[in-house]
Amino acid sequence: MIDLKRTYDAIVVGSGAAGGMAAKELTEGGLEVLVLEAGPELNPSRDFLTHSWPYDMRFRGFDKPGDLEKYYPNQWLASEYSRQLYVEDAEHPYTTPPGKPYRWSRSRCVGGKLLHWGRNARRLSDLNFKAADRDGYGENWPITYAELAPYYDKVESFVGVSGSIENLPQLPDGKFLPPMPLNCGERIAQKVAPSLGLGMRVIPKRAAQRTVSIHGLVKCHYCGSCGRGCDVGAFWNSISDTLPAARKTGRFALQSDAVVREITVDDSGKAKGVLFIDRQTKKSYEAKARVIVLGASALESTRIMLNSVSRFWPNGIGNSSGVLGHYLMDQLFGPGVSGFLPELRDRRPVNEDGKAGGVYIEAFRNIDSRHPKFIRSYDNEGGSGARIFPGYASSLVGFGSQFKKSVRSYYTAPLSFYMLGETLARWENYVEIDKNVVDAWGIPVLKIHCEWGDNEHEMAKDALETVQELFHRLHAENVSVSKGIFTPGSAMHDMGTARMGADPKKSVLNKFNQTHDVKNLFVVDGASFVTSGGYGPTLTIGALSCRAADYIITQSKRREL
Amino acid sequence: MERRTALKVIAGSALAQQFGLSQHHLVKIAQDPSPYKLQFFSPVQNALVDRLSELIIPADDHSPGAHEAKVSFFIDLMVSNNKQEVQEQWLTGLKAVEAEAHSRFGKPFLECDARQQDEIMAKMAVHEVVSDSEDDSARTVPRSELERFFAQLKQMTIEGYYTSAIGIHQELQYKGNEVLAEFIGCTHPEHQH
Repeated sequence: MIDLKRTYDAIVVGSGAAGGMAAKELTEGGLEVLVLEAGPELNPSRDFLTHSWPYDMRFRGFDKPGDLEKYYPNQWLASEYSRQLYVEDAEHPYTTPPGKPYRWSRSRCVGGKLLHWGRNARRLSDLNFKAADRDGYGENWPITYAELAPYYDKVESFVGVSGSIENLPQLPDGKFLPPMPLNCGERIAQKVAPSLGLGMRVIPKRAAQRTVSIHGLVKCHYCGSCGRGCDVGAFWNSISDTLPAARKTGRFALQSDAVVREITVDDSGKAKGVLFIDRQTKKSYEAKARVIVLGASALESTRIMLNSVSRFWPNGIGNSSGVLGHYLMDQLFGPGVSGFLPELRDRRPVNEDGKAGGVYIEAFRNIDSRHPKFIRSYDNEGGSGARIFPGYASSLVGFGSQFKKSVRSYYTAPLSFYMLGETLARWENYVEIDKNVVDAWGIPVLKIHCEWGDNEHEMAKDALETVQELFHRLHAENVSVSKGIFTPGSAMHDMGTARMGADPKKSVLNKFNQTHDVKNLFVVDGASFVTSGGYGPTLTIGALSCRAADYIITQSKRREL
Repeated sequence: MERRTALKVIAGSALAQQFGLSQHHLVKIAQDPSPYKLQFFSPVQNALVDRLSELIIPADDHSPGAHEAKVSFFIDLMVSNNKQEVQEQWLTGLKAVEAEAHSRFGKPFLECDARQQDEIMAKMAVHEVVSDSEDDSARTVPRSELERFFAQLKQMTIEGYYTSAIGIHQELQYKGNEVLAEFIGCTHPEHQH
C-alpha cells in the first residue's frame, strides 16, 4: 500500500488514455502524483496471448460454450484470448430501464481499455468543436481546434501515430510516422471510391501503432494481434509509454487494486482526497491530495462524482447545474457491408492482416453541403485481405471438394466496411445512481438511459446505401449487408455526462476540464465531451488530458487551486 | 532457409525472447498431439462424426481433410462442454443419419460406400440456403431433422477444420501471426491509385 499519510500534489483516478497521460504530464511538470487504478497490474507475458494460434487454445479461440455469455455478457470483444483484460459483469453491474439496453464494456486494470483498443487516432476539428454554430443543434465546445492543436501535436509526437497527410478540413492532419501500406483490396477501393461522385475518399488508417521506433518506444512487428494486448508495447497502451515516463520522474506512485468510491471534501466543500476500497480485501482507505483528476473513463468518472454526496453537494460533487450525468453519447455502430472482389480471388496468400487495420472512408456528408435527412457525419472503417479464420465459409453453399475449394478461392478476396457515426447529445440520454444496486465493493451503480433517435437512423440508412453503391461499383460478389444498429455502448466510446461548456448552468466543466464548482477537481476523460464526433475519442482525450495537466501545473505554481 | 527451420531458429533466439514468441505451434506442426480421450461421443458416434465431417471438408490434392485434422475430437470437446439441449441435438442428428442409411441402403452409415454416403449427405444439404440477410424470415426453415443437423454439422466442421494447423497452414496457407520487420502491402501496379 502506498503512503497514505502524505498529501499528494495530485491524485489521478484511472491509468488509461486519460489518467496515464495526466500522470505523465503532471509528474514531468513537477507535481508529486498518485495514480489510483481500480484493477490489478497485469503481467504481459502471462496475460497477453499475443502470438497464440487457435490450436494452442483449449477451445480453439471460441471459448468454452456459454462462458463468455455467462461471465462477460456485455464485454462483447472479450474472447478466449483476451477475456482476462475485461471486467466480469457480475462484479460490476449496472441497470437500464426496460426497452433501453446499453452495452457497457470496461477494462479495469493498469492501462485500462488502452491495452486492447482499436488504435484509431484521429483529431477532431472545428467542424466538431463549433458544430452548433453550423447546424444550430446543441452547444459548442468551449475550445477551438487552434487551442487544442499543440496538445494533439504533443500526444502524437510522444506516443507515435502512423498516418498520411490528406489535407481534409474535416480531419486535421497530425504529426505522423509513415503510414502502413494498403492491401490490394484497399487500393482498389481507393481507386474506385471517387467515381461515385459523392466526395468519398479512402485513406490509410491513422493508427497509434509505431511504424518506426521513437525515443525508446518500439515499432510494431505486424503480428496482427493488438486486441489481445501487445507483448512489445508497439502501440500507445499506458504501460509501455505514459506510465514509465511518469515513473522516470521519481514523482510517481501507483496503487493498483484501488476501487475509488467517492471524492472527499474539506469543510469548505473543496476536494481533499478520495475514498478507495482495496479490490481484494475490501478494506477502505482515504488518500489525500491538493488536486483530484478523474480519468476513470467517462461513465466511471461521472459515477464517482454522483456518488460524492455531502452537505455542500447534495446532488454529487460539481453538480450545482444538475447537468452531471446528462448528454450521454456513444457512437452509431453496427451497419456494415462485406463482400469479395473477383479480381482478388484464387491468389497465393500474403500477409494482409499483420497491420491490424486498414482504411477509412472519410466523412463526406454535411461537410460541404447540408444533407436533407440528418445532421453531422459518419465515416467507415474497414479493410481487405485474408484473415486467420474464414468466417464467410458458413455462407458458402455446399459440401465436399467443391465447397472446400470455394472457401479457398474466396480466401484472399474479402473487403468489408462498418460505419461509425456521430450521435446527438440529448438531455434524455443520461446516467444516474441506482440506489438499489451496489457492485462487489458496495458502491452504488449507474442506471444508464440511452436511446438513438431519427438522426441516427437516417444516418445509418445513408451509410448503408452509399457503401453498398461502392460495392456495386467494385462488382463485389456475395455482398452481405448488416443493417442492425448495435446496442448503444457497443462502440465502446462512451462520452459526455460531465460536459465542458462556457456556461456553468449548462455544463459541468470549463474549457480546462476543471469543474465550475470545485476548482481543484478536474475530469479529463471522455466525460468532458460536448459532441461525440464520428470516430474514436481517444486521441482527443489524450490531448485534453495533456492540456488540462498544463493548466493544473500553471495554476498550482500560482497557488490558484 | 526453409521456412519451418527459419522459424525454429528465430523461436530459439534472443529475438523470440524479446517478442515473446510461443514455440507451441512449431511442436504441433511437427508431431501428433497427445491422444485425445472422448468426453461425450461413443467411439462409434465419433467414427460417424469423423466420416461426416470428412465428407464436408475432404482431403484433396491440396491438403488433408477433416479426418486428418481430427475435427471430430474438436466437435466432441465442444459438444461435451455445451448445454444438454445442444448435446441432445447432436445425438438426435446422428440417429437421423443412421435412420436414413438403414432406410435407404439397409445398413449402417459407416458400412455404406462413398457414393451412398455422398447421396445421404446430398439429401441433408438439398435445401441449404444461406441467407445474406440478417432478417430471420428470409432463412429457410429446415424441413427435416437431417437438414437441421446438416447446418449444425457443417458449422462445427468449419470451426474445427479452419482452426487446426492443417486448415490454417496447409489448406489456407495463412501468412499472418508472424513477426515482420516491415509490412509490405500491395505491390501490384494494376491496383495502384
